[in-house]
Amino acid sequence: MPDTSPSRVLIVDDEPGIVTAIEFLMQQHGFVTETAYHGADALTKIGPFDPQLVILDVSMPRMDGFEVALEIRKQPHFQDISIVFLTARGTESDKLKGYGSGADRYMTKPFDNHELVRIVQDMLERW
Amino acid sequence: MWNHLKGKKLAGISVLFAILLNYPIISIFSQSGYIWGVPRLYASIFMMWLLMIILLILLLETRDTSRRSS
Amino acid sequence: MNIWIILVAGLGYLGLLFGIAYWSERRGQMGKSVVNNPYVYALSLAVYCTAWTFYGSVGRACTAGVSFLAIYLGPTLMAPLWYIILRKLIVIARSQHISSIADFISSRYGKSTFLGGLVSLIAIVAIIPYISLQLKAISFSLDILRAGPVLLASGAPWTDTALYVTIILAIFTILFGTRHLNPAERHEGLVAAVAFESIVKLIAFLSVGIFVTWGIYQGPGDLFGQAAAIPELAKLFTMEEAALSPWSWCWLILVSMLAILTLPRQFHVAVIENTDVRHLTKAIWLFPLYMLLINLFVLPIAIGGDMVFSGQGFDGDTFVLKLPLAYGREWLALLVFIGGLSASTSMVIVSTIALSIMASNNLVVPLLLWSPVRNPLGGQDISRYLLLIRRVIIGMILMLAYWYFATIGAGTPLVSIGLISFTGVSQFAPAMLGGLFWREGTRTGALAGLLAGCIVWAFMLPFPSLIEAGRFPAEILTTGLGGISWLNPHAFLGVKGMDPISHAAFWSLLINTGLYVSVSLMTRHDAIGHAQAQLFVNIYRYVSGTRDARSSYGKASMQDIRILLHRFLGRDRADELVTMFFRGKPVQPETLTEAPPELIAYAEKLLGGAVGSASAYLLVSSVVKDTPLSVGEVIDVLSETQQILSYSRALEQQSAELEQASAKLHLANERLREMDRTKDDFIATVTHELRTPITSIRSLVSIMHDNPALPEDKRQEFLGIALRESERISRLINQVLDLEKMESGHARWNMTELDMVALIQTSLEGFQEICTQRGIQLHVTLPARVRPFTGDRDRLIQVMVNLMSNAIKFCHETRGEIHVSLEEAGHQLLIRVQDNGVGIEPEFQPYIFDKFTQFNDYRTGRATGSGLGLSITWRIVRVHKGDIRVSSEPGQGAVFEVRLPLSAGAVQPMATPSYNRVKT
Repeated sequence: MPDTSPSRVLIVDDEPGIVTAIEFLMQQHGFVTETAYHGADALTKIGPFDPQLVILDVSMPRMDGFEVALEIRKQPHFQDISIVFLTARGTESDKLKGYGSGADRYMTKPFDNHELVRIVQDMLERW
Repeated sequence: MWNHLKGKKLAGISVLFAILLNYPIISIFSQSGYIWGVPRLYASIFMMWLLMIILLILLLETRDTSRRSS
Repeated sequence: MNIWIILVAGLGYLGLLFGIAYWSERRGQMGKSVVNNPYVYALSLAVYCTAWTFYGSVGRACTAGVSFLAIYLGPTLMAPLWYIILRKLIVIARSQHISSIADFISSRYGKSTFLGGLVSLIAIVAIIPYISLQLKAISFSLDILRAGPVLLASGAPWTDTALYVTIILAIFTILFGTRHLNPAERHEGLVAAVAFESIVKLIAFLSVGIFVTWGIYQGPGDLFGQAAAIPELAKLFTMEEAALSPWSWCWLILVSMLAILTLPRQFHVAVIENTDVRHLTKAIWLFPLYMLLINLFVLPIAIGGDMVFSGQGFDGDTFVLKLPLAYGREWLALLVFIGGLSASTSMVIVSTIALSIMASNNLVVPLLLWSPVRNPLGGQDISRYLLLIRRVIIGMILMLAYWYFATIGAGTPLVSIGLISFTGVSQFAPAMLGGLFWREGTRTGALAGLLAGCIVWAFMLPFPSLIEAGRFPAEILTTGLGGISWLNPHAFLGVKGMDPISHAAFWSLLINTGLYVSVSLMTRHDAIGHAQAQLFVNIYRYVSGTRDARSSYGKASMQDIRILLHRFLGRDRADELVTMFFRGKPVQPETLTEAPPELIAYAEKLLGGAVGSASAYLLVSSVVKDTPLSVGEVIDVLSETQQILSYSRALEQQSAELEQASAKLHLANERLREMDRTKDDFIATVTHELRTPITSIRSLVSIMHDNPALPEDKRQEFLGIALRESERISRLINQVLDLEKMESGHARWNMTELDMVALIQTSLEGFQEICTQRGIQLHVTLPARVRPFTGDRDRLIQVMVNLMSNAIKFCHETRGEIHVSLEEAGHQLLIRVQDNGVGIEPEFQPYIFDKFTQFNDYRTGRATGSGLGLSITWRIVRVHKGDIRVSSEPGQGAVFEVRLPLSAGAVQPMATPSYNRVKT
């Protein structure tokens, strides 16, 4: 029996333009969104918002996305949150680091809108 | 079938034998004397040559043949 | 031996070759190619072994022992490197429709017609003696076999065997190579015949070797044992006693390593005639094996011949043929003759065809097209005349070779003529190898290197051979050209102790490479030169079908591809080209919604013609889904950015404007190229910095594209962001260019005497209003006058503007205050810009002038600005011999202090980037 309430997506990126775009896309496809502009911000918002999925940038000031992901994964009740890295850093070692820090998907910027939506939908269905 | 590592190994073989087949290393073999009746210098050059070919075969043929059998 | 038997055997053999060629071409047409096979490919490479190998090696071994092996060890050592070099050559040749080495070099260096013509000319000059060597070999083998006198002595041309040989070969080559025109310049039949000849010459040579070793003597032990007793022969067994210097050995290996890549016939069989790049992996070990086998019996034959014919004064070049004859083995001698014929004919045919392709494509056709007589061919399709041109060229090349043989080459040993050619064609190596792996190699560099290398070569090798033939006074070789002692072809600048080949190879390759590199570094590519350099060096990124290339073209709609082509090629032309593409294909464009991958590749190629290949690649990437834009050179990303911007903005614009945009793109490409020499990490950072705005723009624009019914306020918001982000991109590009210009030392500094008080006032003018708007109090404290300062006015204004923008950006939100002051303190001017904002944490202060260190706005945690402004400021101040410092406490604002020494003398732009400035 699928959950009838809409899924919640937390968008973490330090670029307002990108946040605006992703927020629109997610809302357009029926998700409830919350936004955070840096790592610490994300960690304070993740508890109250209780998202099913986090879209996470890597290069952010002070605390980068890898650290945020590790921090999220440390908490037992956040184990089931899906984490999608969305970043301009696309080297193999970045990807390895991303998956190592607990990511479920690693996407590089610039991204394709349809693909991002499809991936988010896929992952939430699985969830 | 093309990979960087193989390219580097091949370049390594080339450099190695370029050193072996040039002065001063080659002067080690350039002495009077015979190996199986063949003058030592000639026998050595041809044996190194053959060794190089064998190394190339080992490097290029072994793994690929198993994979390309289809 | 009866002349008729020989003639029937020889002509019959040529007929057989022709039959094989014909048969294999038929098989190829039926789709059962015999040539598409790694063994045939490897055997065809053995066209390297010519009459020089077949007859000349023995002669060389008789006099210089082991030295004959050098020119086979060189290619053997090169073979493993084919995996890197030849593979790249093949991929480039295939994708760029390269037809010869001249074409390759011309195409790499900006499709330079002149360079192509020059290479063709040099190749012809260098190879003709080598072809004549083959003619000489065939005619002397004929003469020996029929036991007649050497006919050349009689003088009258019509009694000369070589003349008839030449004529027959010319006819044969024309039949082989020019029966029909093939745009790929592939000749399946030729390859099959050459591979067959390689087998024949190997069998023939091994037969003689076995006959000598085990037929005349009782095995190698007996043969060498007997030879050891003869001092003149025993000394051939070591290098020292054979008087072979380490230098000669090393240079012979090196020159032949290069020649296996640059000889026109090798380039032809290895690159042009290659049917499948995977065949290389077999050829890499098969080819060295072939050469090992064909050299195995050279020494036994030489030693055996020397002992058998002891004291009769025969030339060692003839032993292969004379030994079987001396022992009455006429059939073996006939086999040897056929083997030698194989070795010579395969070389002559392939070389002549390769040269004729070069000469017609890179010399004759361009000349015809440019000739003052408008359209000498009456406006008709030039390809109809191409075959005729080729045939004439083949005839001319062979006649020239005959002329060389008859006048100069007859008395020279086979090997020396060959080595002269080797050294000549190895002059192509710097331009060719540099062209493959070094993007900075320019046309001017290639031209300078090639010309100089060839002049040196011509002076040191062919010229002395003309002297020896009595064409020039002999004293040049002792006293130097025109009596100038350092202009000695065999002892240039007084260098002594080298044999002529090593001497010439050393000087020509040194000067060639030196000029190629240094002139390349001093000159720049033009637009097309840059595009081609980029394409050739990074070929795997652009070509589909290889692993490293764009692995799969993703999906793109027919509509998108069409729109793209319409924009850049015009509607009519684009439709025509698409129709042409689908001609003869089972599907028709109207029925497709998704573009087939080949069409995408085709579109990219077409666009490449209009805007350059790198841009075309990126244009196509912008419509192809699921293909992430390639990381890589910042140049590409920068131009791509411009492209995507103009593309997304111009969704509804007229094509005329787009033409303008593409013209601008060319220009941008050109400017962006200036940053070529930056470090990788810097490039990576810029790439990264660019991806962010591109991401916003791409995503927002496609939201607007996908949702035509978007509410107006949303649309305005998104457009606003896209516009801001695009401004950010242009700002970043400009700053990067600016900074790179300064760092590379290309920036021009316009130093004048300046009144700094007035300069600061001018700089602040624009800021008064901004400050008022934001409620910032601007306090300016300037003295009435200071001593004049020598500096670049615009750059110093830039410094002030950067510092002011910074201060405003980080000023206190509600009670902003900025203090600007100037004072003269001793021998320097001190400029201070102080704000009262968030300040900078102490651990960040040392890095604040580094590139891409961004101030973080802690209110949002967001970085603003490009991270380059302060880096540029720092550099400008440093060029003025000044100093810039920051002091700040978090929460207390920041003070930037610029000190400019009043005695600043000449400007010294720094050429080295300052990545590690802080640490030093």
